[in-house]
Amino acid sequence: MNGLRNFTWLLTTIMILLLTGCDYQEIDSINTLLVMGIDQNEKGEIRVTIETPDYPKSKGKQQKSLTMEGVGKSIEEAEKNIQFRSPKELYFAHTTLLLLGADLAKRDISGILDYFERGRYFRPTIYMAVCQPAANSILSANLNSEALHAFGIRDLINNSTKISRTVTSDMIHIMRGEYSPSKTFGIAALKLSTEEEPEVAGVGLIQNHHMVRWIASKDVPYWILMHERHLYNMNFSVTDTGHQKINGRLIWGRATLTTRWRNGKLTAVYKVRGSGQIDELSHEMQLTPEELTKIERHLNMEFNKKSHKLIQSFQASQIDGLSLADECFRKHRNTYQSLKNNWSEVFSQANIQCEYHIHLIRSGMKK
Amino acid sequence: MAMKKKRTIAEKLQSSILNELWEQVNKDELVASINQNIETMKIIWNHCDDFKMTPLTGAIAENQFGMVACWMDGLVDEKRLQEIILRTNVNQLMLSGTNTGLVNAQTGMYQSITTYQEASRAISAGQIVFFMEGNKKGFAISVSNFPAKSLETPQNEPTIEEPQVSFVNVLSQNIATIRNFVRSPHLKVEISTLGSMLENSVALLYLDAVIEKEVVDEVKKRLSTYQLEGVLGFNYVKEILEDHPYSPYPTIDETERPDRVAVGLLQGKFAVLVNGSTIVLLAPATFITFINPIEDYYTGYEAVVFFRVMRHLMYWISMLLPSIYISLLSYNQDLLPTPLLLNLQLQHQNLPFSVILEIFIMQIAFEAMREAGTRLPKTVGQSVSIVGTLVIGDAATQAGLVTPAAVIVVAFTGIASFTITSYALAYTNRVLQFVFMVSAFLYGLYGVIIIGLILVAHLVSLKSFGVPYMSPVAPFHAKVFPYAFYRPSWSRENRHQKDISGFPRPDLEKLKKTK
Repeated sequence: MNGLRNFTWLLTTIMILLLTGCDYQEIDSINTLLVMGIDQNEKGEIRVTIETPDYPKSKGKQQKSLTMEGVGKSIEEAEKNIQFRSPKELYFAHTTLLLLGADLAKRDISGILDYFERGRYFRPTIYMAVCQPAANSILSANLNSEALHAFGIRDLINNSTKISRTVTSDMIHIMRGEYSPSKTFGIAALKLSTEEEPEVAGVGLIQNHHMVRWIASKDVPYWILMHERHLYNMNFSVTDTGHQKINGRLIWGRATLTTRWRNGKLTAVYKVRGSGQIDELSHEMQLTPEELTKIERHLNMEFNKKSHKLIQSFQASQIDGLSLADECFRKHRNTYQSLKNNWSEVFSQANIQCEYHIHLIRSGMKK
Repeated sequence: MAMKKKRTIAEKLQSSILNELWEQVNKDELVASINQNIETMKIIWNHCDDFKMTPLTGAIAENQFGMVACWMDGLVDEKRLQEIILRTNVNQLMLSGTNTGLVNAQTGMYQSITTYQEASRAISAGQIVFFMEGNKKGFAISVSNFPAKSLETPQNEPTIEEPQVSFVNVLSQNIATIRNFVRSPHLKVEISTLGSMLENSVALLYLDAVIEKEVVDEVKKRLSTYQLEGVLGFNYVKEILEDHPYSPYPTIDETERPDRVAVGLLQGKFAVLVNGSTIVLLAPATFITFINPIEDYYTGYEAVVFFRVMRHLMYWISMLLPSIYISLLSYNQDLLPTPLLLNLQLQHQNLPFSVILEIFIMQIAFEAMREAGTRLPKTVGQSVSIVGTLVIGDAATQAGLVTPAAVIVVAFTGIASFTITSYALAYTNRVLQFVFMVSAFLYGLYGVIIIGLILVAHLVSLKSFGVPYMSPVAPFHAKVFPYAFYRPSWSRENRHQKDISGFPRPDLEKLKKTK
């Protein structure tokens, strides 16, 4: 009995020590990968661009980034091609940013999302963005503010939430349409500015693991108001009836959506209430309550016009960028079930209205 | 056939170099002949120039004295010695055949001596031993005046406020110092002599109203098993008393502060004092005992919570920080924040050593400097440990031997270890951190967790005189648990009692020593 117990102890100890699954790797023997850019070339192959820090050989010199590329039939193969040229082992656990080329995103990103979901090293906090024209071009561009694209672009996306969306890889299942295939999802969209520097240029709409639409930065706040039904701190600039330019800020805005079906046609009304303030007047101007009311009316009209324009563009391209299908699925399930196969057409013919009721704060009012 | 010559005691002693014979002679009883007694004592104390012997007045025959006094030079009070010798009325004693006259005339207290062993023991203890012609009994009078340190500020357990008193190297003085703190007839003092050759006095102190009687019996039992030749310090007794002598963790507390002994006695502990040692042993002891210093009782109770929690945290940091650093840099880089990883990678560029080696180099250098700082005189020692660490750390970084991060880790580990007030526990920590470092090198955080689990299993299996070592955490005592991290305000009179009696009681069934 004692022998069996000793044997069990010995076996357990050996198993504990030998089946650890721990890999010894010195910190200076790994090549920490910070950004992965994934594009598709003309041949349909996957092109992976990575950025790793390039450590200076002598002290005092600034740290730079090293960009490497690899092509293959899959991401794995492309990575292996990079690994062959890398003196150190690629280390994926600190990947901070995933950039997807617009061309690739428009086709299908389900395979890419699957790869990142399965990879044991990838964190669920990887920032994701789509790039125009390609991820490679963004990673090859110069960055004035940061030595590393990973941190520079990540901060760029973080600081542009008013004109963009911050998305991390823990939202992969939403992008894959697992919860609701008709749900539209906004992801930060990058492009190169005229100075050849990366900039946030709007939002790429992902629906059912495809990028279906690119929304420009100027339209993003209206999309956010209708899609997410709330918005904070949006700057606006309107020209009033007297051709005076007024700069202000929408402090908060909340939208309520009402949908109803009449004769097989969908009517959706967004009622937006909010509060704003005037920050700057173009010239010395006496603000009276009557004047402010006029400005409010004008502001509401302007917002309405811009929102309507965005809706029209969605309807023209038959893309439900407002996730109305999702709303109808919840509220009018039977009607939606009967029309879901024909939803694009239903959406394009829907009567979608916006009503803005923005109240400007009467601070500093002179009677 | 030559007759076998009967060996005299003197011959036995002269030829003996073995303890057996020594003991045999020692146990012999005194004889009526004063000359033979003198002869034997001279041989026992052969080559001991500080052994003094003087005949008192009244030689009754040639080379034969009525009375002889023996003592050890330097251990007795010279003034009193002279008084005793001058005032002794030998003739009276000789006539009466008793020692009553001397006793009454001098001190009023004496101790009868019947064997040479008792005589030697009394002389070693600073007493004057008298031998009389025609009397098989001698007697001893205590006039001891041992060289003693004066009361000093505690060096190892300093506090900012309150009693700045530590023990000295004389047993009687130490007992008196404790009596000064615990003025109660409940404080019992039992003195015994240990050591088969170099005898020394060991005192057992306890409060009979608080301590479990079985614990006292167990201590006496363990002390009775002492078989070494001498008791040269407290550690000789400590290792005999300990429940788990092979455990790296101390299960008996050591202190040089009488106030700490007083608190311990109130908690139902016993104290063991060894003559000649300035350290007192206190037991039973738990893990918490070693973490919380006596200063908590003199500091505002609000601050105590913070400091106790911080000390616990620092204890684990001092043990685990180097191994966690090795794990994170050699196995688990994914757990580091990205900017920190990049920074560490930058530091490790062109470094000739691996992470484990650089931490080992730094840690061993730090330990060497700390050890050197302890052995050197205080003023020089501090400079060596602090300046040495700074200078060598900076130079090693400049030379590209280690990274600044490794210097920070080792320095912080060292500073964290200084928050542990118990030296015994700090030594354990210093050894165990190397075990953790090796396991971290072999298996990363997994290895640290495995060793951690083994350590926890070991800690919860320990006990000190029936008290589980990790109590009140394991086994968990909800009522007592808060007092591990918190000291109540003394503003309510029952709070003090709660805190004191919060010390876990021994499990009497588990009192038996395990080896």
